[in-house]
Amino acid sequence: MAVTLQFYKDQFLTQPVGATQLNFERAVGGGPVDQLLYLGSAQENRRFVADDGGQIVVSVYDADPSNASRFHASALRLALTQAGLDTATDGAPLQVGMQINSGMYAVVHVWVRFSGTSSTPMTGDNLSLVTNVVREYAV
Amino acid sequence: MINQTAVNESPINGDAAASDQPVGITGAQLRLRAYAKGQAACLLHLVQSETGTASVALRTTVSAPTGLARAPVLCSVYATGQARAALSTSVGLLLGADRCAAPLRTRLYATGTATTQGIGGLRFAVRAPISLDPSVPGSIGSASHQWRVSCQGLQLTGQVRIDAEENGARTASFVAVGQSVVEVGQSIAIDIEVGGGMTRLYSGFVEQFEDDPDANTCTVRCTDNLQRYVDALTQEQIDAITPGAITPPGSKETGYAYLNTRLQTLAASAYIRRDGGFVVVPWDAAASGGGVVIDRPIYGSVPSASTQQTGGDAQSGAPGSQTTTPNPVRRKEWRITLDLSWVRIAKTKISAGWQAGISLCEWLNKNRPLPSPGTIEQAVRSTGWDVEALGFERMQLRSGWVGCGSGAVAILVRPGTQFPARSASWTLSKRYTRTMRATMTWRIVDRRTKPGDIIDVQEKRITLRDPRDGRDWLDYGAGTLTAIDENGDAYADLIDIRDDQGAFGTAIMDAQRAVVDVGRTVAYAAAQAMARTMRNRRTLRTRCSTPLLPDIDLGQSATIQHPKLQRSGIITRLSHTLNITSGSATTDVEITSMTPAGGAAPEYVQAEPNLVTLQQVDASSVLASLRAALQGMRLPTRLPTKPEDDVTRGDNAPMTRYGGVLLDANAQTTSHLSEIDTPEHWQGWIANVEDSAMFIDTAPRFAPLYKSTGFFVRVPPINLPPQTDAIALGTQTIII
Repeated sequence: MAVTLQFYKDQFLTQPVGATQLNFERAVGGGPVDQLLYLGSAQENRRFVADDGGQIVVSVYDADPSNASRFHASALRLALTQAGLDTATDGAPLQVGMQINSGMYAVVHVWVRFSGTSSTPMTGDNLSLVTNVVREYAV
Repeated sequence: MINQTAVNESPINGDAAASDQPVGITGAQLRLRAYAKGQAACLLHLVQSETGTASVALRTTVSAPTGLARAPVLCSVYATGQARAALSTSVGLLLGADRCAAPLRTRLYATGTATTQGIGGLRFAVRAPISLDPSVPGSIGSASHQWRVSCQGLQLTGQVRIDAEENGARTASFVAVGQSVVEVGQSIAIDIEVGGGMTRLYSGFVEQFEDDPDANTCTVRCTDNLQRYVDALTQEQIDAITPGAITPPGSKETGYAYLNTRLQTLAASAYIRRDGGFVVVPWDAAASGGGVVIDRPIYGSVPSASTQQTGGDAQSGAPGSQTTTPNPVRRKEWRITLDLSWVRIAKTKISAGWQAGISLCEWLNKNRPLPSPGTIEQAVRSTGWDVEALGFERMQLRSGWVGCGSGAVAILVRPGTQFPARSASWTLSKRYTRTMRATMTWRIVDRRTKPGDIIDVQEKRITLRDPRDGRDWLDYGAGTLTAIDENGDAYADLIDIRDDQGAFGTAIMDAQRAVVDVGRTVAYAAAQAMARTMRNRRTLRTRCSTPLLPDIDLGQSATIQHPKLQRSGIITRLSHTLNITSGSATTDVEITSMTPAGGAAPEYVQAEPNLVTLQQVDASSVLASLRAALQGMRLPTRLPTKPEDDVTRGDNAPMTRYGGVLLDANAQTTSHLSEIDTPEHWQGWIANVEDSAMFIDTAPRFAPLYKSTGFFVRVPPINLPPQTDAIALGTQTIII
């Protein structure tokens, strides 16, 4: 089963994350990189709630947790505002609300900070963002 | 009647995506009927057709106590295709003849998760910084480094140019091989790969493109749509990205206009970063993204200009002019005047009475004219005061004999005869007001004002008036009596109108409510003035060109190093030019410094708005001064009673206690009556007695009478304190 709720790179919901690669790059010894993603649905007149009746939660998923040559969930922080990244916990899930409505004017801002460090260049694509199970209703 | 809507929810089955399924609502009708308790049986006859469709309509009964309907169905399918089922139901109590309707709705929903996993997904990398090291200083491109620029699979040719400037959209233009290779509105990303590392140079959208069929190229122009992006943000989102900014009271702007209004009060600029993130960067941001040293300027000199921005209007957003000659600095000064007025009101009351002073027999024998009640009432009302009470007593006479002295008088009274008054009493009152005013002024002054600066004074006047002025009257007695003068008059204390009860006036309450607006107006004006002051100080701009620096971005602190010059500031303009044909890759960068160069940001940039409120400027002293001024304005509560104001008789007894028997002007006068010759000194009725001599020989308590010309009611003049001018409570200067 699939829902129309997705992560997007732009606030107009035309560039879904996952269709093309989204890069988080930082230089060796450089500062962390912040990126804003948009969680919403381009389908009209839909609303989304958590299947368990609670908050919709965005979490970091690590497909390769035991590989030491990869970044892991603790390399990311999630927040609803860029300023909130300063106080967010590494790898902690993010509650984004009880309900999300579709459309570009109701998108949820998900700020991602990549603060993983390495003394040598390193690349990994094992990390992804995923929500808990949601229900999609017609409005 | 039972009427209930139930909603049943169930997930979509199978692997179909939510967009394929009619996620929504279906309808089903459930009819309930209540029956009397008993047993009922229903035979259900099922017929199966060859097409595979069977239909059955099922009616169940509801038990009243439990509300449950049971309809177990037992079906047997025979080889012939017929099924018979016996339906046994339980029934309940008949509740009525009406049917019960209970529409049943079924809602379908899809379940799933949103994830970034996909073809591309997220890629995290830590890479070595890109280093460009031309072998010959000043060379444009070199064999020592190679670079490749890519744009989503398009084949690029010619020149790629990227321009970025603070408070503006970031634009890009490139030439791709082919015709109509993009669509307007399509998202565009331009990356450059140098030395094994990939850097995003640009993120945006196609604004327009132009085909050249002869050259088989398509020139594309892009923008990052800063304004459109900001227009889509909510006020709360814009507030969150502009911390410390102030919104003026009453602002109804949204989106980009709202952002610019708030930016008027910040020493900061807004733009979309090269990776697509939207940021607001303070002008004094230090080491934002890491300071960068630009130490390989291509050209032989590093031009810089010290320019001053003059004029301009923060309200309309009109830009100022930029000249190379220094001009006087314009500074704003704000003057806010608070004008308060409210009412001091009071009421005075007098009571008086009159008696004829003659008996019935005297009236009958002497034919003394007495006033009618109507004459008395007319006289009382003609004073112009408010009549609170008026009463009189008539001479009472009936037909018959009246004994008077040693004789009797026969009286015949015609029915309907109205007899004159023998006594009267009245209570009059008068209300009067004085309006008090006070003004206070605050000046907001820029502490950096210097001699020679041009001062633009902005005035704002707030007038608060007691809405009860001229309406509603308050009894003076509501105040506490605090003083008794030598005449025995009591004066009520000033009613405290700071009381938040509406009955006592709302001028101060209105002022308190206006405090927030006043404070925010002042704060917005002050912050706006300070931001403009900062803008005027942000005048040192230095430009240079270097080999391509793809990592730098607007808002970064940077230092331009030249053998003869070193200047630090924040990158405020950026332009990358890549020529795919020739291989040149350069960056033009402009940094802006505060004057004096390298100076620290002034401390006024605070995390919390610097609100100015009336309380902060000691409004309590304002109110205390007003109260003290009003204390001196006391109003009399009753008429002063001096002996010479009374009408007296021969024995100096006040006539007010005995009624209107006064001297006749034509009679002999005595010295003790001279002071009452003028009508202003007596009131009541004067009964004219021609035969005044009759009374001369009588006891001193009788005196000659004056001819009356009417019933007179005397009211005293009320001397109110003068209406005062507005109390000026001074001007307070606040230096920011």
